[in-house]
Amino acid sequence: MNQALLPIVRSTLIDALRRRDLGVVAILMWALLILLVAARMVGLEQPTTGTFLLNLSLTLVTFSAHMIALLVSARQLPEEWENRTLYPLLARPVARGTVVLGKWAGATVMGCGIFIGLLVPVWALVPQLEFYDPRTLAQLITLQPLALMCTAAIPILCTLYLQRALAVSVALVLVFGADFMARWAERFPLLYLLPNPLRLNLVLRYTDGIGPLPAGDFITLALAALLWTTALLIQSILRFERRPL
Amino acid sequence: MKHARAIVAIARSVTLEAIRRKEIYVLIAACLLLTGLAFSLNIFDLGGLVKFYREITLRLMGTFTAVAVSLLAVRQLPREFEQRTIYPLLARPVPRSVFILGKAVGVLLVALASYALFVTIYIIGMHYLDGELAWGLLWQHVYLQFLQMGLLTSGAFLLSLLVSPDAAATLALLLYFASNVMGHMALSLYELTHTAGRAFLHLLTYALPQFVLFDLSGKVLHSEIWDPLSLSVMGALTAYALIYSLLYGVGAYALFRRRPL
Amino acid sequence: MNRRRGHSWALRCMVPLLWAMASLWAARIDPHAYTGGRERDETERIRRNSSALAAMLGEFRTSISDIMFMKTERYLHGGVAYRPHHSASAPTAEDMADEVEEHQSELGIPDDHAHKHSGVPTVVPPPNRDFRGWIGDLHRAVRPWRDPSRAHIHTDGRDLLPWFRVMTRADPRYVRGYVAGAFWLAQEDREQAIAFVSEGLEHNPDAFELYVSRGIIRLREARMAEADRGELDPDIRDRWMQARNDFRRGAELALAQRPDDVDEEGFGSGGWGHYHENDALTACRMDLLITHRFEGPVAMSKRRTLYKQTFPELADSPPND
Repeated sequence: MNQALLPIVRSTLIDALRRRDLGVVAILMWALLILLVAARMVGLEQPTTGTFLLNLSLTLVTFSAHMIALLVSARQLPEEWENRTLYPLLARPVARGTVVLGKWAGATVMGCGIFIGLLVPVWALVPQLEFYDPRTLAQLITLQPLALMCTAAIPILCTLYLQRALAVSVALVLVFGADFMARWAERFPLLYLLPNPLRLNLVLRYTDGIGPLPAGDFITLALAALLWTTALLIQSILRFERRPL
Repeated sequence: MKHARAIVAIARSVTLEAIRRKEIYVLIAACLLLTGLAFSLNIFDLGGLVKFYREITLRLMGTFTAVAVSLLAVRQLPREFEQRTIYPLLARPVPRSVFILGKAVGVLLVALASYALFVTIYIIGMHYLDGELAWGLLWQHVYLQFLQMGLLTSGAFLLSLLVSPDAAATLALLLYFASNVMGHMALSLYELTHTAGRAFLHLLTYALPQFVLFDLSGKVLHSEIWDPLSLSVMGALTAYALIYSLLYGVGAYALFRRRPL
Repeated sequence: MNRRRGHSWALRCMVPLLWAMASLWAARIDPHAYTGGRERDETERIRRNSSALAAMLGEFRTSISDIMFMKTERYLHGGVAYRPHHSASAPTAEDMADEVEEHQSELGIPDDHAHKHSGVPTVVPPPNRDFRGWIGDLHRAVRPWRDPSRAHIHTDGRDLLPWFRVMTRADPRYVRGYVAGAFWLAQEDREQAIAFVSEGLEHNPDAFELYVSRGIIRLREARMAEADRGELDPDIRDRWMQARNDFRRGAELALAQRPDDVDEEGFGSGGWGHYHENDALTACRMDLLITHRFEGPVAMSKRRTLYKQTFPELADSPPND
């Protein structure tokens, strides 16, 4: 399985490069850089303005990483069906589950790459003028890949049940809207069941200067993301295996 | 006039493709769903809180139409080369300019149809809430949104021939959504820069489409205070949209012509 | 084959189990469920929104308190976007109730001092300060815009209520959202306003500003009911006592939270700002007034001894009989 998995991950990433997805990343990075340079030009008169810019930039970094992971992941299976490139792939001794895992892993790696790639210029250009707890930052950086794993798994499952555009819309609502919708969960308890990758987003906690999550909460959130991802992937594999070619 | 039939045929193919791909349905359904959710919110059992619904609905209408237009427009020209459907088309006596115009008309028809549906829902919603519609400002807003979609379409055509379709859609949407921020950024930086920097900011301001000029929602929202725009302003905005759409369209045409078959 | 099918069923059963576990675990933990924080701090919010960076970003914000601030500014000024012009402090619950402080229009206070409210720069500058020429002219024509030298338009804040509802749902720890929302809601429906603040207290049990806010609404209700009926019946007395209890609880919490290093302007460590100081003072003062009326000067004097250690200015409040 491992032998087949890596080539699929690699091909997903190569496909992303071939389709010039990196162009999109470059555009986002340039937009962020322009914003940061312009902010430095107008000046950060006081520490609170630096925090303002740091929060804004980290929020944009997180948003971009999740958006790209979602869009790359949502494209994988529908395009294989449409372009009929799945047949030669499945003609090889590759389990369908491996295909799903490979596609998902590729999208996750892409999202993580963007997260790190955009985080570096933010780090270099935004002066940290107030106290920010480095332990919270460590938690933030640790939880983001787990959140991106979950984000990349959601559209994979959606595209196996829904038409592509609808699947992308549902995935967008789930990824970016679940945290907000969960606020209504007391009245509508079913909302508790929504997967909520952005609950693992500690940007605000970090820029607010708050300390790290207690170890128990941190582990629970990490486990929740892993369980959501596992459940989404198992269901995706089961669905994909039963789907006629 | 002699190419009217070709324009209609090409525009028809664009609308049929939009219908076939079903993305537009999803966007319309998502917009209607979110609008419905906003209208169904019970705010402290109070009635008459119209501005909130107005703002949410107008924002959703604009956003979803812009997304639909961008996604549809960036696919049109590059795909003709990718799928090799350009050859049979060019075998016919249809100039490339007419071909691009037909594509633009098709995209705009789809935009118009979806926006008309949203406006209808908006009017019904306002009627249901006993909210004042401020017809003058509303129709001006709808008209300006249509001009804006034309500008977005021609800009997306140009971008789609410069970069990949995904990058073009990202750029078009970035320009659309960040138009306001870019304007403020230019105003702030102008104070801090000197000759070269200022010349660059002038260039940016006049070269990039100022989508923010076509957003009348602020006045529609507070329609009890603001009057409709004067004819001269509407005329100037129309001229702006037409000239810039034409310029971007000519740019797209030049690239399209030079693109190897 | 059967074995494979068995595996499949086992996996199928695992999915809802894993899902339910993950959802229930995650629902228990909210990484933003902490008290305070720079984003929710009103003094910080005013500072960051008055900065050149905020002017550069126009209306683009990611923080809930900032978005609410922008909405409030725009709605109350008929859609016109002004640069933040409240240099000193954020409004207090008491200020809101008094409706006198001119600078409080940012949180929804109508004032009749509009003539003083001019000369504040607009986000879109006037023609003589806008390098964009005709594009700037069109921008000013399309957006709600008013010459900064002219008095501001002031509308009421009723239309802001849905935003307060949404904002407090999105961040139930945003105490100022409850305070400002309750102020406007109380003009429409006091019971709903009390319920709204009570909801805020469920999420923020230590927020003394919310006790002050609820106390003010209950105090008004008691005063109006007493004026209507012309006598102090047990029901009205009960309302007065509820208001007193709110002020007292608020005062106790405020004194426990107040840092020792508060300066003359009301600012102290740990994010303590002018509005905290004013609300703390209001809670103490109102407790003393109501205690004086219903329990007599001796009971009031005991409370005053307690409060004046922190607030010496309360030594003469209320005046001794």
